[in-house]
Amino acid sequence: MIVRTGLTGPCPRPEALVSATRDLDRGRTTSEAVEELFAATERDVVALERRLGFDSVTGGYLRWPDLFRPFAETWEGFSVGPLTRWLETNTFFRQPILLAPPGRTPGAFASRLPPALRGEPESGRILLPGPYTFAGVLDNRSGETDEAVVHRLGRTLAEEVRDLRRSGYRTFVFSEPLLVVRPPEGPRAAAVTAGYEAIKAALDGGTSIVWTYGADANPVFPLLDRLPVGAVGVDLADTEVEQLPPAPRRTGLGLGVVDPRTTLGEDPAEVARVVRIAYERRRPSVVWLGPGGPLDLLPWEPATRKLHVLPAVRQALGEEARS
Amino acid sequence: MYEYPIRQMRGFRFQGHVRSFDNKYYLKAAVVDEVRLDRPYHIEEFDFVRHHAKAEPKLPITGPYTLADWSYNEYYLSRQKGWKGRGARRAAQREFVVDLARRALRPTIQALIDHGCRVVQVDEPAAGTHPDEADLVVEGFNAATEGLDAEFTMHICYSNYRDLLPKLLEAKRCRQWAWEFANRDSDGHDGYEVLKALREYGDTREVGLGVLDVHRDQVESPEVVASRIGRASEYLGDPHRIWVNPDCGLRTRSLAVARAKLESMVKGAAIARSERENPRR
Repeated sequence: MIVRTGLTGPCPRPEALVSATRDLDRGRTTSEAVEELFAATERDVVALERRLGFDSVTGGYLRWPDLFRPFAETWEGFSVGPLTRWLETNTFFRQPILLAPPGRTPGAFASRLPPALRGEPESGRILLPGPYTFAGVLDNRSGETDEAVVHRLGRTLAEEVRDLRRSGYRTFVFSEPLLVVRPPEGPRAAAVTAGYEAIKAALDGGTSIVWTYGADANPVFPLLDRLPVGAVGVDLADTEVEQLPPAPRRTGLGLGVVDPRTTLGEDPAEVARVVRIAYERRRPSVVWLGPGGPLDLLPWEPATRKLHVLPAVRQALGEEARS
Repeated sequence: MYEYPIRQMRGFRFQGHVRSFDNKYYLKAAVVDEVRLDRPYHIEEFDFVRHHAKAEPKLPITGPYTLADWSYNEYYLSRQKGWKGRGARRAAQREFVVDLARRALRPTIQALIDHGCRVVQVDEPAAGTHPDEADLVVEGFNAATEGLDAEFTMHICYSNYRDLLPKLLEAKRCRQWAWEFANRDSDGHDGYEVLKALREYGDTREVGLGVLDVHRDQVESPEVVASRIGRASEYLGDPHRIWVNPDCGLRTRSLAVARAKLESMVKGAAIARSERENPRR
């Protein structure tokens, strides 16, 4: 079994950064001081990811207000709307409002990536909203059908991927909770596949991982298995492992084994047992282990403590080699 | 509304800050032992408000479901055997909510009633977080208020209210729904239309109508407030059921902005009343 590990979403901010950003809002510190702290913390996150033996690193995406703002603020056709609940969590995002077909300004999104990734882009893991989830959360006033928006967002994300590949980035994680929370059907499902076809064409040897969470993925596997991506991730806190469809899969399988909804630590032996079951049912080419959902549902200390289960599980599974 | 009540209880350990949005955070605790109440809370605040208020004070208190949802569940979850999947999480959460309601909320509300409190608003902003747990919201509300002699309202915000219906209507002791609407009311989107759902289910309780967006400094004009009340009246089919209020707490605004918003709200309510009494042709 080939096992790889890494983050699947943003990291929480450490307490010092919490204080600094609060102080910034209250005019008690300068943006330069906070910027310095962001940069230092991103380097700390990369160092932690390396210590834990992750296959690619994120820097934590600590500056992003939410998953969509870097796009809603840099792509044409968008404005930023009301505060909206993020799935079944107590966190919120500003709903993107699509006023016209989206377009991008080359380089604008890349400038929102953690600077700590720029030195070694080949080991960086790029976090992106999946086209279906992006289309599903926005307020579509563009005049286009929702299906057309899914496909168009897929193509626009593909342009970002193409540019980022040219800059050396290799691994792209598409956050797609809505694929399992509100599974697409009919033309919308076809638009999702078409969106990922566009992304695949832009990957040029890179790796794409679609990460789902927030609901049971088992009923959606017929669609997930059709997606032209390197791996599909499911959150094992919501997806019953013994119900995974027993179809061999030539590509990768992501397993969310760190539950960001509780501070209770996972037992490495229990996680290894569950991973073995998943592996036996799916026989994937690679198993990607990570948090089931966004780790920033936890404070920094318990989040980083819980991540230590990943190298322990890897060891328990007898995985020595990185690849 | 979270940290203070939790600090009046035993069985919790604070874990650190979680981001709510942008640079806004809240401190989150884990329940690491059985919930126990140290002492009833909000008594001093209630006494203070009653001493200064000219009208009947309404006491808001964070509901058991929200306190549970905003906490990490270690103790009750650790008692579940095997893999901590959805079924285990739900069973653990139910135990947690009911313990909070019976052991902390109910004795506190009883103490408030003993101090002369007549109107209690149970705040359940987390109610919409997991719509399939609406039965837990109701179970917690009913357990916290069972047999108590007061008027109860329930505040919910930033939720898809339709997803909670009709289950929520089983909170029989609730006299009023105090919900947020202004945040979702913008050009091209009617934030009040969801009130039709109450009419569809034949629910005739009062509505605490959120007419001020508490997350923006921009002060709503009295005319905007009046227009929101007018639309809500139409959807409910009865203006007498409306109590006008902000979407949620105003503590994220400055005192000056909060005051300006409240003044505008009062003026807007006056316009709405006047328009009701003297309808334009």
